[in-house]
Amino acid sequence: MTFLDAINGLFNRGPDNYILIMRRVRLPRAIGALVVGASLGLSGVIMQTMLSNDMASPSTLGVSNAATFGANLSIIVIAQGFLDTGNNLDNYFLGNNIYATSFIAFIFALASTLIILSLCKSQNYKKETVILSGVAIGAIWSALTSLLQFYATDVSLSAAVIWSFGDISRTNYNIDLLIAIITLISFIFFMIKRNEYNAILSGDDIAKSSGVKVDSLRFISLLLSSLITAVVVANLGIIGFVGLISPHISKILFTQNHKYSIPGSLLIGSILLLVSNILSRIIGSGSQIPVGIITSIIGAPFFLYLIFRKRRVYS
Amino acid sequence: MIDVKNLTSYYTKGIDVIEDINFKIDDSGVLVILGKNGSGKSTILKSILGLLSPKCGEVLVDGINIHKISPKERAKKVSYVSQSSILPHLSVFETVMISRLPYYNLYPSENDKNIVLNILKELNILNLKDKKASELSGGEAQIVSIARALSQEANIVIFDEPTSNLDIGNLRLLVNLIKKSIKNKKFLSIIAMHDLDVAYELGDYFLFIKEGKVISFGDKNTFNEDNIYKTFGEECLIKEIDGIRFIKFKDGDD
Repeated sequence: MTFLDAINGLFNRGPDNYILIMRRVRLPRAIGALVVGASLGLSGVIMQTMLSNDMASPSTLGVSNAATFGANLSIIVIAQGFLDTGNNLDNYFLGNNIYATSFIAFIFALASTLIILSLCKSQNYKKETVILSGVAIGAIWSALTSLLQFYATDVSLSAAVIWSFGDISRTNYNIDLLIAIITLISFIFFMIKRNEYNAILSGDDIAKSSGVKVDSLRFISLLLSSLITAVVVANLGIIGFVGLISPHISKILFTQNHKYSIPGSLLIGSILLLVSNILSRIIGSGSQIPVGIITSIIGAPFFLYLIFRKRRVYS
Repeated sequence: MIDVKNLTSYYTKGIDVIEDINFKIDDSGVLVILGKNGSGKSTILKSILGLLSPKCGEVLVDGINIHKISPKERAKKVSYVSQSSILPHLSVFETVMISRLPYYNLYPSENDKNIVLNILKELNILNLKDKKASELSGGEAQIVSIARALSQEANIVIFDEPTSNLDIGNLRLLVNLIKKSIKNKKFLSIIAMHDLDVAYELGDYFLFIKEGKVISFGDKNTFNEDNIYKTFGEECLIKEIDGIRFIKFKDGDD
């Protein structure tokens, strides 16, 4: 397909198969990359501020581990080795629902978030407690996932492993819309609270003495950030590093002021994932490599670069 | 202005850090809280700030119990300069603007911005307005923290060991600045410290604390050898030469 064919297909012109490819396959994936990248960038910047930790990411509360366990449970135990691609629907006791695995993954991700936040309530959502609880609960989900995989058949295991690769090609307009709505609502809330996040940069005590309800703001912010991540991971698998490095790039380009760093991180997340998505097609030469693999390959060294550059620039 | 009644607070249940603290000040001025490290100075300050809920007792500011009002209303009554200034990667202006949060919802007004600019001018740091707060020296950072607390226009400004991390040059700069910025103002400053010379220089009222309990509270006359001995366990001699008060400890340290 030439570039012109692609443009024509996008505008409902030309051969039917080109129109189908562009409007049913390429467009929702491109929109998906933009929306998912935005959501991870948004979630990451808020996580880092609320936990005062540059290493915090959308998955700090163990959301990805919990979602992976949910998906493994669905694929290995319930669906007996089939992904939610439609070929196993007769065996699926939840009915003919192509979102069943995503739904179970989401339920576990949400449950994990709520467990951690409930545990940390008694400590007034102290940052260190939240981070360490996330690590501990995340480790439990990982262990349970390993247990399931140990007893899984070869087919089940490979299906479960494939699920965990973050993959934009699984998206469709419905998933794009769902993620866009949650991201938009969160974005509006975060922007309203932008000045309170700025106050938290000076420490909890200063923020509290400036009139910020730090504990409740931390609870709502962590919940929304984890909710965004839960929806993304449950539907598309683990897409690493976007939520970790987007806030850092944003802070370098637009400063730490949340008036700029929130939309900045969202924008950079979008661009990063869109570029990664394009690369995953180019490198895969026809077949699409799961984008989560690309983001990790590019993201990890880039993150190292930022760590050493940061020492000189904005630390 | 402030009335602290039977204040008892703790961090760990069963271990009271401060016990039955009472004092009352009706006028503006400077109250210095003196005590050794770990004596409960910061706990008293945190209780007054509302960062720590008391086990019993109450803190009344202009007759209002500060633990029974919203954080925003409380912030209009008490502001805070912390011991160590964590200043963010924001400009000095943006950092000081945090102090206006209790006064607006979505966008600060021109009045909010003017108040901040006036304080920066008053403290001679208007030239640092656009500089990143995280890149300031220790002395400059502490002045920015003071600017933030003053811009909050609270009835009480609390300083927790404001001079503890400063070298002698910055310490004098800061002491002079505190004197200039808080003397003759219509608010009460409460300063916790253990530097006796600076304390005497700044204070109008003194609260001596030992092991979470009040040793003595009163005006400048309270600052005497007896209370210093009871609080710090060190015998000293206070002499005034040409209007300057010197404190000489018996072991030879000044």
